[in-house]
Amino acid sequence: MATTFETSGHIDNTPEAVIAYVADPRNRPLFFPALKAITDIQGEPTAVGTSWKWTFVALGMEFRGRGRCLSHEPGRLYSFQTDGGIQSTFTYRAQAESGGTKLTVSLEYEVPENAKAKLPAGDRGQKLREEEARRALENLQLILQR
Amino acid sequence: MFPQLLWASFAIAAAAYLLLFLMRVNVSLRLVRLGWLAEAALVSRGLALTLWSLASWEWTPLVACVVVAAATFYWHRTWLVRARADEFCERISEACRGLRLECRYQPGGLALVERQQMLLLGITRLHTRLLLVRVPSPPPRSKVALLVQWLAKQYSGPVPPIPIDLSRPS
Repeated sequence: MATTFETSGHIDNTPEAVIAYVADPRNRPLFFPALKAITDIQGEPTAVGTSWKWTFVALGMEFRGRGRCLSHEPGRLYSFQTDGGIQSTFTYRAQAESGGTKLTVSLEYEVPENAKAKLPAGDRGQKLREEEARRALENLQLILQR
Repeated sequence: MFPQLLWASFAIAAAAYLLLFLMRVNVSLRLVRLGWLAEAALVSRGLALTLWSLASWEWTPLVACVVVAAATFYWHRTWLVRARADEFCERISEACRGLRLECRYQPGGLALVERQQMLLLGITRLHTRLLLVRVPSPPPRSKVALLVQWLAKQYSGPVPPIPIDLSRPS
């Protein structure tokens, strides 16, 4: 069964600048605390259908997999999916708000039975992923503020 | 026999750590971690004092551990990095661009400017692929702190992590 999580915050920049920044996978290791690297980008980095390899570090282990851009509407929305052992969909929605942007990050993920032994699971795993998404949003606020 | 075993095991652990560092590239050795190892050796020997009194030969490793622990505490923001200086600086400049952080070369390293405050990331080339890096102490919620976190991920410790490929079925 898929688990969903959503967090949002205000960013002092335009929706266009915010979505342009999160849509570039090369920026992601800078604001996602546990994401070490994005490599092997196949295609134009921000385009729909572009895929890449990701490397996450947690608990002394390196988790690797592939990601793929699902949709990109400049200034409005960007979403990508991670394929393989763990399926997750990240969606960033931007709305103009008080001269800046309200950015909402939604995360939907499912840990298949065969990957549960390799990953932090249950409440602990959920808390780790939610904390990661919250910190990523805080870091985006810091990086993108004007 | 116990004291010999204890000192030997800590010496082997430190040697293995150093060897791994020298064998791999794009890794860092944080001097403070060698200090923790030295402190662990001192504490272990201290706890064992009730069972085995200190032999005269043990003063050598004991003093060595005290010196290492004190020195590495003093240099706790100093890393040894196995990377080429030009590649290392180029990667940092790229990360600074991504973080929208002003960064410029200056003698002794890279100047990082945030909110009119300048912090220096000290870089000294010791050998072709060996750098001495002095990491600044930034405020916790700052772009420089994000750069230091990114640096720690890119140049992690010398012990190889366990790789788990989630794109392959188990």
